[in-house]
Amino acid sequence: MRHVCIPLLLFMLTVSCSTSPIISPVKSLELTKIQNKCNGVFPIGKWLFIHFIEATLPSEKKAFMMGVTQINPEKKTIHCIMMTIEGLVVFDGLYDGKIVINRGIPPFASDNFAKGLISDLQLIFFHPEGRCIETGVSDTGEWICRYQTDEASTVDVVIHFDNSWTIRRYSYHRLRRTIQAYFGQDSDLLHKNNIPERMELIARGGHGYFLNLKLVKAEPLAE
Amino acid sequence: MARSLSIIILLIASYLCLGWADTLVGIQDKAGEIKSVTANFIQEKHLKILSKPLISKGTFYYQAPQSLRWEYTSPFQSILLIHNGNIKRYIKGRYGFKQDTAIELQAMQVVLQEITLWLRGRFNDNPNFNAVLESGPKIVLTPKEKSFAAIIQRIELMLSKQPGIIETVRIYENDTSYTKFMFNNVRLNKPLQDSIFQEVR
Repeated sequence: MRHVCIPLLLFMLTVSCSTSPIISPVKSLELTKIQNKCNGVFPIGKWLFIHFIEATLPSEKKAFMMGVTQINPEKKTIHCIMMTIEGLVVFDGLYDGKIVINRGIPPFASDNFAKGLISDLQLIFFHPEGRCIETGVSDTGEWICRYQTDEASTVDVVIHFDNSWTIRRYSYHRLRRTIQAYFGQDSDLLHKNNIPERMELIARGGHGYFLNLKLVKAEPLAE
Repeated sequence: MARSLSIIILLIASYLCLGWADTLVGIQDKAGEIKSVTANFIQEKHLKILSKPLISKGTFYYQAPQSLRWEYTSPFQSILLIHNGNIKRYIKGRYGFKQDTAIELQAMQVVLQEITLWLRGRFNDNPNFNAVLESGPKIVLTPKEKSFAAIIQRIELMLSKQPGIIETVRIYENDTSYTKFMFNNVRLNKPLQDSIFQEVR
């Protein structure tokens, strides 16, 4: 375990100082194409996702959970339930403009945990708030859309050559979160809706963590 | 003659089975004869936001007095081992089994250790729960502490007509959120090696 975690922590420390990359402008025809691709990263309509989650915590501890997430991107609402593999619900929270914790078992009962969780889910599933301030290509040729989400924060949506994607959130130009999507032998439903089979989330900083989210089920819901 | 003999055997068998779950003491006595259990299980997680329950499947092995291997085979592979008072959980990832080093949830530990008590028929031995035998036969466990009741509202165990066997377990967090375990292919008192409860393989 130590052998696996040390490179991961070193990686997290190294890239925690990363700054946002320079975006080179593109012709206007390509601009729309890139922005459409960036928009396509985020689900449209109501969905229910079930993920098997492997969490690597700062103390090098590993935890395994199941996550049930119901999202409504139009209304920006989230209902998230976290449970143990044996089915015990440890967190049940709603976001509808404000966070409501229906159920929380320590250490999942705190407001800070709920706030962090909802923030991560918003980054994964919802189109970034704020306007797109730059669209173009990175120095390695990948497509990037940059959104100014608040005064101090930006979100980059990066489209790779194989059509997979990465979302990066920067605060004061420092990288804080990375979400990397992986696509495998997807079903038609997942492929058509650009839903990744697996995602990795790296949270950087003093209380950094690493999440590996493996999709168990994706179900489109009626409005 | 053969028909009469069949009826007599059936009546004796019915009589033997009838009384086993009449009292908690009767259940404990009958369960005392069980040295090991191997069974397959289906776990259904019922939540208000799920249109269909979330299904997990696996196998468990129990050896008296307190060894348990609780193994999920789908939708992911996970093995939980309880032996000599130690609880360990392993999850299979892309690079083999990894140990869950954060298994510190007190409520879950209580439930897992509770399983080994149930299999011995000792429903009243856990200081956290009150046990009541209801018709069915069904045993209902309710938390004694209010703080624990906020985590688990109640546990219902449906007993099989076959002595010593639990058919289903329902763990209620509230009226709309519960986990149902259904057991099948139950084999009693089959010799089991100690390594089953100590090693991941």
